[in-house]
Amino acid sequence: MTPRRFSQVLVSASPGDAVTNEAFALRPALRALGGSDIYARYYDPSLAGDVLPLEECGRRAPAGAAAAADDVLVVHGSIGEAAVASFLAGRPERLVLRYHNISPAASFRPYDAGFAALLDQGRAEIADLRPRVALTLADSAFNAADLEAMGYQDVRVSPLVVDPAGLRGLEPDPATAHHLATEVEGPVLLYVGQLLPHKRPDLLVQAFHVLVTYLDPDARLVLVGPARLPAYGNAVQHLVHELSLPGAWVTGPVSPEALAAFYRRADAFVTASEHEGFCVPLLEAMAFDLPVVARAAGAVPETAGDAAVLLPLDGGPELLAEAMYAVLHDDALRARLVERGAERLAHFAPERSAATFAGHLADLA
Amino acid sequence: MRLLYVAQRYGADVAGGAELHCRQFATRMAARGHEVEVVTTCARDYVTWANRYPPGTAHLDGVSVYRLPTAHPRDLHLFGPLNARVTLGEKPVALHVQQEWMRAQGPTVPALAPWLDRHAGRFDAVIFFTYLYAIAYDGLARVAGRVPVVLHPTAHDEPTLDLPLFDAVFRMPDAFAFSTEEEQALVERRFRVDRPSAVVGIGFDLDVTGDGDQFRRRYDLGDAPYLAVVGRVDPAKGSTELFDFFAAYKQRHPGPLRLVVVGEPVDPPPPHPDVLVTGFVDDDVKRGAVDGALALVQPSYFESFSMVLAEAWVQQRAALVQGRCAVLAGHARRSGGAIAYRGFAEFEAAVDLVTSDPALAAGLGRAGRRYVEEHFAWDAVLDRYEGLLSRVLRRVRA
Amino acid sequence: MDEPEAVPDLDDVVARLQARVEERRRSGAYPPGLEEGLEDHFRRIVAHRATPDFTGLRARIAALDTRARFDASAIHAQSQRPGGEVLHKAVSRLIGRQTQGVLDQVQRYADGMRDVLGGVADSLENPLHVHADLVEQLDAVLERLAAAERRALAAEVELAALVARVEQLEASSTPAR
Repeated sequence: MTPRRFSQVLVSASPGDAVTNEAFALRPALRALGGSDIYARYYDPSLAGDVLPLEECGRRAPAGAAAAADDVLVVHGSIGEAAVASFLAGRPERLVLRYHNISPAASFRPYDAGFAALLDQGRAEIADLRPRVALTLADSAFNAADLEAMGYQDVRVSPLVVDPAGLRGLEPDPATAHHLATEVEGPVLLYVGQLLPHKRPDLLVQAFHVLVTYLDPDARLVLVGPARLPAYGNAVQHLVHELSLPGAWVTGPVSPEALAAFYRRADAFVTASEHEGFCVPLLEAMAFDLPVVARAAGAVPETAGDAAVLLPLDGGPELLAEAMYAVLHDDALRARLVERGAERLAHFAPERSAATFAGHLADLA
Repeated sequence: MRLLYVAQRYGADVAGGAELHCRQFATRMAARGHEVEVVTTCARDYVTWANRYPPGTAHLDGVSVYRLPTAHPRDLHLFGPLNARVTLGEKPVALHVQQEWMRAQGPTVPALAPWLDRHAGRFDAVIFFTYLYAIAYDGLARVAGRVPVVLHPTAHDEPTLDLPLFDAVFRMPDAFAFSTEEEQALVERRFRVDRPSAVVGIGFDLDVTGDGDQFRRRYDLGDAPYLAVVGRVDPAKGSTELFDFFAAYKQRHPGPLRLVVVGEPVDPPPPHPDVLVTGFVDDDVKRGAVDGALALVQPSYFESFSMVLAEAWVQQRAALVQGRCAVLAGHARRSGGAIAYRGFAEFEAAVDLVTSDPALAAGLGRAGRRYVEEHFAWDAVLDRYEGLLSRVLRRVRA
Repeated sequence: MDEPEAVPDLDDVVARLQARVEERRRSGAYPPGLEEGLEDHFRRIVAHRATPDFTGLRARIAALDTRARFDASAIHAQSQRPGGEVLHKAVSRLIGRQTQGVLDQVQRYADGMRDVLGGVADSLENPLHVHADLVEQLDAVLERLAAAERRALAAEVELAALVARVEQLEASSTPAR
């Protein structure tokens, strides 16, 4: 009797991406349960061999349809893709939906109606999948609530399998490290994440203006991450220039090694995001012993726990600036947050999270 | 006329060109029979605006002075970087950030607006000195349109003048009073406003003398000919360049010529056997220094008028002036009392001329004196000033 | 995942930060309207500084690459007139070198122009290619206009209240008939 296969299906796989990382982190646990491979519709060439093209999924089942029906597809839902939706529609395997949240289309619409439509389509695909799904695993209570709003029931919460210590163990990119050591003086606030409207890097820039104008003129702000919405990315650049903030640096996308250099140089981590399905960078920051300031929105409180300063959503740039100042200059606060951060990381130890995930899968009859 | 002057500082021991001019105009207009009052702050220095004078009414040389406290001193730790960002940084700078800069620059005077609301109506004209500070920014907005308003911009070609923030400031007055033709041209080019204006200039006392012999004795200069540099001596005002030029000149032309630096330089010259620094001296000694000199040197790149130059001309001294400063070059051209030099070669030639030809030096000094007599005797200045004010009042009442 | 417990001291931190913000607003350290000013400004940026779409321009510049190849063989030697073609070909053999020379010059020019066009498109696409002084001045004018309109509105309201008061007084002082 061939062991049941637990294949993972992604829309796209790229190095450093949280969903891709979780798929790799889950693979050993899934292989222990039975065979397991990772399939994706799109994948970065560097992952070829490790990640297989979607068309090959199911071709390895030696036996007939019966065996295939016993197999499981763990579908990672984070973005819509019609080809994947139609692929899934034709599959006999049982589906486990691993939901990572689809970004809110409303915040994209003013900048790119086409992109917003794709996000709407993605939500529709997830909703349409519901009758086929045998087990639903969300990586946060916030994401679970999102699915429940789409009619899903019995949504289980299983923490994201993530290993931020891996980034800590990377050799930092020498050029970036050198630049940061020699050209960037003063206390550094770091944001890591996409430059997208719902993550509010514009609010970070406004708060930074208040910080350097009224509280600490020597502070620096570094925003690391890709701007997949050019119109919004450009608006943030304009904001930095029109507020005349030479201490603010929008870096664009960087390699994992360069990211490690930024985390090492930083003195604190900040995010003003209003919508997060999990927020891996919070844990990465804690792995680098950085105190964290964030806002109580989405899954941020669940991920950060008591290891971050969580500001209420009705606070504006002035409150955020005050928090930035405290997290850079209040040594007692910094120490407390760093200590709590280390504890928080233990809570998300990858082996534990992977075991929890596998445990849920074992419940599949 | 009933005149109200609005100045950021006012007092007998307030140092500073614009504030001194304001006091001179106020005092002399009062002496001419006008009713003159001043509203100002309790601050004595413009770097911090810290309150030093007691608030309330005082009387100074026939002028009633109302002092209002500043709300808080300027935070230098914050203002420096903000100033650099706004005046030197990337353009365009958002208007609200420029307004934040103005707030941070100060002086913030909470009692000013209610005071002007209550009292401005008593006057025929309200006159502001200096475009730059918050007192003008807030005050002009408060009285413009209700009472005739005149502004003495005392503007230079500096980065702050380009801020769009000041477009509003320069559209509020009914008339402008300028120190020089160059300032008038600068403001008209930058703001394109169409208002009555006059190059009023600054007045000078013509009965000024100095004792050169006493100065020479005091500093043991003997008979050596010397060039005098007077006033705020700092690198931004061309002092470094002058020290280099003088040293180079001495190397090429060994001789008895010396350079006397009258005052406390911000950046002292490198030690040189023929350069003497007097340190801070009082006006008498200063006039003696000018009297005993072969010529005054005015090396500054940034001058809105250069009182030092005019004072030297009153004492009939020739002058060598920085040719790259439009104001100084303009005075030199109009007066025939100074040689404008650009670069070392011209400096060398100019020094050669005055050292080798005493008649020429004397001629330059006399020409300078005539220029000041004709244009900048106080009576001439105040006549022009009254003319401007009358024109404005007639126009506004019409 | 269990709900994180609210830890008293971190809540204190947030309350402390909020109190500090209030204190700075009260003392005037933060100018009034700071947050609104920042918000309005970003809204204006998003609304007005939209990046135009240059894909059409880029496509046309790329098309130049395929078209801008100058070749003698592309010059037609055909003619409507009898014997014309033979004549053209004979003439073209004679002046072939000059033709090629001209073609070379034109080719070099076209290549140079293509580089220039690419460079111009690059700077137009740069999000910071903005007529800085105009933008600044327009923004400033718009803001001052808005402030003036607000003051005018406030004055109108006050005036209306005053008029009402005067009318009231007149009514009460007019003896009843």
